[in-house]
This record gives sequence, C-alpha cells and structure tokens, in this order.
Amino acid sequence: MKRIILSAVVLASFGAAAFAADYGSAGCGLGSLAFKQNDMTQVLAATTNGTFGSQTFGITFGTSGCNNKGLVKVSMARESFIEANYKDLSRDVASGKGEYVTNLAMLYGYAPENTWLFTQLLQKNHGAIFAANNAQTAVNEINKLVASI
Amino acid sequence: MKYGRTGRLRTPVRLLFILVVLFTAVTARAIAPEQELKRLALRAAAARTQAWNDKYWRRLLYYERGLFGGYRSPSVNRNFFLSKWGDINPKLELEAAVDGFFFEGPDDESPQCRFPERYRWLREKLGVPPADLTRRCKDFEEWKAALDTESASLLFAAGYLNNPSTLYGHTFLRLHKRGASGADLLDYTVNYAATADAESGLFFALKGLAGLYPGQFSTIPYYLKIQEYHNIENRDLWEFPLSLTPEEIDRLLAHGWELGKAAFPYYFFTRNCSWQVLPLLDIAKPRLDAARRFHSWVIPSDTAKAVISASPPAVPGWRPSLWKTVNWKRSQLTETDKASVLELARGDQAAELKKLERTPPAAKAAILETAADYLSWRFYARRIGKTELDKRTDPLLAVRAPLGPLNTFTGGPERPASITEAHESMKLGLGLVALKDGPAYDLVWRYAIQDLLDDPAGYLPDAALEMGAFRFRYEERYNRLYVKDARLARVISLNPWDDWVRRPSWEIAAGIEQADEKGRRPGSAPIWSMNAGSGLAVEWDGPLRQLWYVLAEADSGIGGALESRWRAGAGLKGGLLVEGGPVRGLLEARYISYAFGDTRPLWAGSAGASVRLARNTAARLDYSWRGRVKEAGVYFHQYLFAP
Repeated sequence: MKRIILSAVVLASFGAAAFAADYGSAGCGLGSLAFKQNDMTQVLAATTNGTFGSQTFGITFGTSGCNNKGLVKVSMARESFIEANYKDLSRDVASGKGEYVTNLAMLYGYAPENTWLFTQLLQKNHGAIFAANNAQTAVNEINKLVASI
Repeated sequence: MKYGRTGRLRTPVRLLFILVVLFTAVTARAIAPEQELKRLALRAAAARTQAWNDKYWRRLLYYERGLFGGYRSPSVNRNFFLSKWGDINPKLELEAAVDGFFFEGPDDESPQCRFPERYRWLREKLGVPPADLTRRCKDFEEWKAALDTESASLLFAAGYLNNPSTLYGHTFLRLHKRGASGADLLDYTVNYAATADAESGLFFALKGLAGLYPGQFSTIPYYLKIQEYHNIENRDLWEFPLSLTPEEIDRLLAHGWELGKAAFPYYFFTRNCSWQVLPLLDIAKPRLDAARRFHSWVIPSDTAKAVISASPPAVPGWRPSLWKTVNWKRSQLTETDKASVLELARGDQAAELKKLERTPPAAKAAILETAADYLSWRFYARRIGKTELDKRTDPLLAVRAPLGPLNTFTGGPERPASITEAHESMKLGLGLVALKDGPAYDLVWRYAIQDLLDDPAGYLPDAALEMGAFRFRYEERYNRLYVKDARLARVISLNPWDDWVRRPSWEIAAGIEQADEKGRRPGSAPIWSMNAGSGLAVEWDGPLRQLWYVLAEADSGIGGALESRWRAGAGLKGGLLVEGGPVRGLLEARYISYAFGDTRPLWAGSAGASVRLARNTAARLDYSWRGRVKEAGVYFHQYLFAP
C-alpha cells in the first residue's frame, strides 16, 4: 500500500508529462476510429507505432486517411473532420450555429460569409444526416446535399 | 532513337548515338573530380571557420556539454545524425553534412531534403550559393504547402488535477493556416509527447524519472487537441500569439521537419513536453534563447511565461473548458428552464419533451441546446456511456433542428486571469514565530506552485498544488536549527458542490513534519506522514466568498517519535476558505484517531490569513495548534522565477 501511495505521490508530484492517455490521441481518416474504453471519445486510439526510424514528421497514423508525412490526406480531410468531431458537429448542426459546422463549411469550400447557407442546409436535413449515428452515413448525406445545390 | 523497319539503327543515327555515348562518358569522368575538389574546398572552409564550434550548429543538433568536456546529443533516433559518430562529435557530424551536399540518390532522400534548416545554415556559413548543389525537396515542400503557415502561437492547457501526469499543464504550438481565420479547427499543432507503454504505477513513475520513454514530435490536427483538452479533460486552452516573422516561421517549419527524425529521452521533471518545445522556438527565433533559462525542474506554466515574456504583448486567446461553456449557458436560463434541462438529461426525457411542446421556440431551443451540451459533458466526465449519450442526445437534436436558426445565447463565459497574471512558481519566505518558549525564525522555500492561501489568479481556483515545500526553523532559546516541515507533495482539489456536476473534493499529501503533539523537545519529533481524504465542499457567495469543506481522512505516520514507531488511522478534517479582494483566510481543523501503532489521537488545526501586496509579494498571519503546542507567526512571501 505504502508503495502504491508513494508512487502515486511521486507521480502526482510533477509530471509535466503529456502522455498519450488511454484514450489515445489521434487520427486520420475514416474507419480508423477505434473507440476504446467505454466508447470514451470521438477521438480514436491511434498508436505511434512505426514512428521510430520513419523519415516523416511525427505521427504516422498508419491509416488510409493519412499521408506519409503525418498529415491528414487532403482527399480525406472532410471525412476525417466529420468522424473525429461527429457529436460536436451534430449538436452544432441542430442548433444551426457553432464553429464545428462553420469549419466544415469551409472544408466544403464555402467562403466565411456564406457558411450560414451550408449551416442552414444541414440544419434542415439534420435527421437524414445524423439519425443513423454513423459517420459514413453523415459523410454521404452531406456530400449528397452539397452536390444537390 | 528511331529504329528502321528492320530493327537496326540507320547509319547516321547510329553515328550520333555513338557520339552521345562517348560525350557522356567523358563529361561524367570530368564532373567527378570537380565535385571532389568542391567537396574538399567546402571541408577546408568548414575547418577554417571551425564551423562545428558554431553555437547554432550545436543548437540544431541539441549538443550538450558532457561531464568530461565532450559533447553529446540526446537523440535516441540515429536517423537524426548523418555521421556514425554524430551524437558525440559535432565535427564529424558537420563533415558528414558537407559530404551530404554530394549525396548520390533521389532528391527526397538527400541530406539536404531531410535536414533543410541545417543546410540553410551550412550554405550561409560556408558560402555555398543557392543555385549551387541544389535539390528539389518535393516531400518537404508538399508538407510545408499543406501546413501553409502564416503565424504560430503557443498553446497552454491549464493544469488538470485529475491526471497526475499533467497536473501543471501542457504546452504545444499551433500553426495558423494562411487566410483561414474562422476555420480555427483546421489548423495543425506541433506537439511533443512521450510514447509511454502500458506500464503503470511505480514502474511508470520510475521509468519517467529515468528518461526511459522516448519523446517525439507530432503534427496533430488542432481539432483533436481540442477534443482532448476541451472535451475529455475539461480544461481551458490559452493561446498566446508568438508574432513570428515569415523568416522565423520558415525556420520553425524547416527544423520541425528535421525533428521528425529525432526522439529524445523524456524526463518528467526536466526534458518534458513543455521544455522540448523551447529549443525549437529558439531556432525559429534565436534571440528568444529560452531553453537555457531552465536548469532544474520544468513547469509548463513557466515555459509558457518565458516564451510569452519574450514576445510582443498581445491579447491571448481563450477557449473555455466544456463545463465552463455549459455553466455559462445554464446561467442564462430561468429556474424552471434549468429544472427542465436536468429532466431532459437525467430524468424522464419523453415526458419532459412533451411538456416543452408549448414552450416558445427560443426558450425551448435554449433548453435543448443546454441539455445537449450538458449530456456531452456528462459523457466526457464518465457519468454516462456512449449508448446513453446517443439515446438521450439524439431526440433532443431531432426536436431542436426543425426550430431553425435562433439566437439562444449571447456573450460568453467570464474569462479568468491568464497565466501571465499569476505569481511566479517558486516561493521564498521569512517568518517570525512566537512559541511558548520564545521566538523562532522561519525560512520558507517551496518549489511549486500554490496552496489555498496563495492568490490563485492564473492557476486553479480552490486548489493546492505543492511540490517540495520546506520550512526551516531556528529557535533562539535552544539554539537549534531544524526542519519544521518538508512536504514532498500535496494536492488539494476543492470542488464546490453542484447538483449538475456532483464532484467530490479530495486531497493527498506526503512529507516530513514535526509531531509536536508528542511533547518532545522542539525539532526532535520528525515523522514521515502520508494522508489522503475525500469529502464535500459547499460555496456561499456572500459579500465575501466562502467555501466550507469536510473531508474524511486516512492518515499514517512513521518515525521514532511515535510509540512503536508508526501509526495509522482515520478521522475528519473541516475547513473554511474566505476570499475578498486581495485577502484570503483559511480556518482548518482535523481530528484523527489511530487504530494501529501509536494510538493517541491527533487534534490539530490552524487559522491563517494572507494578503497579496503585489503580483509576487504577499504577507501572511498564521496561528496553529497541534496537540498542546501552539504557535503564531507572521510571514513575508516573495515569489520567484525558478533559477
């Protein structure tokens, strides 16, 4: 017991450590979201495997959504964003405001002054986009909506 | 080449072919010696200027002077060096870099493309013109273009008491994309973190102290960092603009690219997440020279302050934690609306939604939005699981969306004092103490960072976070100098009870103290003591803010002053914290009864008041009793930047 307390205290002592916590910090791309720990987060539990000796900058997420330089592939930017921020986005869309939806609008090429158009379009179709509680459905529906106008 | 129908080369073409082959052979042979001469000339130039002794070269490779005078670079990833001996010899590494100009192979794999900042400097140092020996670094240029950085800022995630490894906060960099204002989430961050394994407890702590975890840099999308800090850990995020020039940003990115090949041993206290960002910034902005300012233990808020103080003053950005956002929305609701939110989030949702049908749209929207945010907080605070979150949130949003655009909330949460307004982390103090047997003189030294009586501006409110707190006492009558107390660590987190949050208050502490209640001669009853407690706190917002608390405590002690040399027991601790302007008061009493070892109970307490005289100066009055021993003291405290 003493040892446990001691180690807890030693740990508690400073640890200006930013450790990859158990929920991980993470990633890139659709299908790579591995929910861990009681579905704790929308953030996937990515590992930093393979970073050693790699010629790239930082994390290679090792998923289809990431390029070999540790950045989100441009072609997957929208999907990654929607998947990683699914719940926040759903709330923003329902209330017709908020930075998650305006940021997504900009990813879809809307100018800042026109993001409200995108927001309202999504708000009107909230059910179709989010009812399935599935990121892939949301991506498809939003793509369809944007293409329809 | 054009072939005849027969498949043989036509005569004039054949001649030409032979000529071309001959010519190429001749020039190829001619280029090599020329290159070799160039290489030798560059090596000579390097030797002439002793380029490897240049401060910037040492910085770029993180050379540190060792105990025996030599240099060593800590990177445990060999790819960070071009020479086999690069980690211990700056000269050999520089010569390898000179040879690297003549690398034969694909451009993207050339040293020049892998280490753009080293070669930018090397060209300048050795006078290699930009047009000479150039490479096309496609990978690097693409990466840079994708980041398209216009400016950079330092992000500081405030302290977080619920995760010991990040108690004191965390710092990282954000790269702002060009012309992307309003799309904050789409930026990238530059983050340094240790790659920990599954080890936990003692091993985790020891490995962390010994630097056995490698730390690496990564570029993580800002929205994921927001998920981590704002949502999951419920912390405020501060953003301090660095005001870097385009040239400085180029250096930041060029060196950042190089760091992708480095991995440094991660030390909890010194070479931690927060420190390792400094050498990177020092390279971007050489006159910052911040890394050198830290020798002993590195506290993230201190590194943030060091960087901020060297940048032009600017208003920091602030992103309130998820709970602060929920709380602010709640504060704009009427009591009935608040009850409605609770019912939607925790009670009979279907019935409440039915009741809300008659509510005007704007009020209804505000209730629904608050309830959805509150549910999100409940999920991240681990009050509910993913299924419950979906089950309760989806119907709310399905009702909210058809209401269309509505202005539900105005303004924003109240911004607290930033870290720039906080007192420095280290404390030195002098005290004059009245004891039964005459006066005593105290010297106070605390490494970090706050107790309940220190002004919490810029740090966490209602919390104590102490590390290395010492009090040395000299008693004139006995001519004795002794350690009054030496606390290794103490964390107190008082959370005013809130029905929406339902978070207990707690404390944990360990250190040496004098068991005065044993009636020994002053200073001769040191014991090692550890205690932990959990309980409730209640806030009362009168003319003076009051925080009352009660904690159930577990306590243990080891030391020669105790009968059978130890004791373990449990008891109660009660306290009252009062705040008004620069004055703070604290009353505290505890009663511990011991079941094992020395079973005499302990009855102790204190009454103290502090006044903040300036940002880094405070005075304190203190009265305390422990058993039958009483003392009263007056203290003067000065806060300092840790040397």
